[in-house]
Amino acid sequence: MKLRNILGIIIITLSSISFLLASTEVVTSGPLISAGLTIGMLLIIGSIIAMIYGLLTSKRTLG
Amino acid sequence: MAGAAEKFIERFSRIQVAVHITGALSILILYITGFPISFPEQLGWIPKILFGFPITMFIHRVAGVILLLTALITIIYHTLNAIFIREHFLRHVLPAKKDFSDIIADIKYTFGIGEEKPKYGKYSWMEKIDVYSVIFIDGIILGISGVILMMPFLFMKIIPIHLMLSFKSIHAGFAIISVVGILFHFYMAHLSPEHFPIDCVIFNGEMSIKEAEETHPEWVREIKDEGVVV
Repeated sequence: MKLRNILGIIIITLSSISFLLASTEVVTSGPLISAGLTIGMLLIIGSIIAMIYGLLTSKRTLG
Repeated sequence: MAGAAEKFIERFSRIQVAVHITGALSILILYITGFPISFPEQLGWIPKILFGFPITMFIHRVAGVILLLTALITIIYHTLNAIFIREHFLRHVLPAKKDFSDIIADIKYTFGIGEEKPKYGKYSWMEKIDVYSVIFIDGIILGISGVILMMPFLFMKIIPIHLMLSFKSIHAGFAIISVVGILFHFYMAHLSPEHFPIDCVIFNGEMSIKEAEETHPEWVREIKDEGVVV
C-alpha cells in the first residue's frame, strides 16, 4: 500500500476523532486533541485553496 | 490525465457546479470562523489571523447568509425544473430500493464475502447520504439554529430563554457532526487513492466515459439506453 493511501486515512481519522472527543468535553486538552483539531482546520483551509485551484485550472469542454 | 480521444459526459450541470462551489466555500468558511468559539484554547490562532473575534463573527454571519441563500435558490431552481421542464434530477437523488441492496452488497464486498462491487446508478448510496446530511444538518438544523442565534433579541420575544440557550448547544454539537461528515466527504471525493489529490469532476461537471463505466456502470447503461451516449 502506498504511503499516500494510508496518509489520507490517518489524517481524516485523527482529525475526526479529535473533533468528536473535544465535543464530548471529557477530553478538551492535550497534544493529540490540539494536533487533531489543528490538522482538521488546516485541511479545511487547504481545501479552500484546492477548490480555487480546481476552479481556475479545470475547463469545461461540453456545451 | 485524459487522452486526446477520450470521450466525456455531463455528470453535473453548470448550476450544480455553481451551487457546490458556493455552498462548499461558505460551509468551509463557517467551520473556520465558527470552531474557534467552541475551541478557543486550541483554535484561538484563527481569530488572531482574522483581526479579532468581532470580525471573525461578522465573516461567520455573512457566510451563513450566503449558504442559506444558496439553499433557497437551489430549492426554487429544482422545484421550477420539476414543474415546468420535468427534469429527472430527483429520480437520481431520491432513495431507491437498489440503494439498500447496494449497501448490503458493499458491506459483503468490503469483508470479502461478496464477489463484485455493486453497480451504482448516477449517485451511489454514499453520495446520496452526503447530499441528505448537508440538507438536514447544514441546511435545516444549523441554518435554523444559526438564524435564531444571529437575532437573539428578536427571537427572545417568542422563544423562552432556556430554549434559546439550548439552540447554542444544538448549533455547536451539530457543527461537529457536520465537520466529521465533511472530512469523510473529503476522503471519499478527493483524498482516496483513486482521486488523490483532487477530483476535478465537480469543477467542470464532466466525467470520462471510461471512468463513469468503472464507477457508475448502471448510470452509463441508462444514458446509453436513452441515446445520450453512443
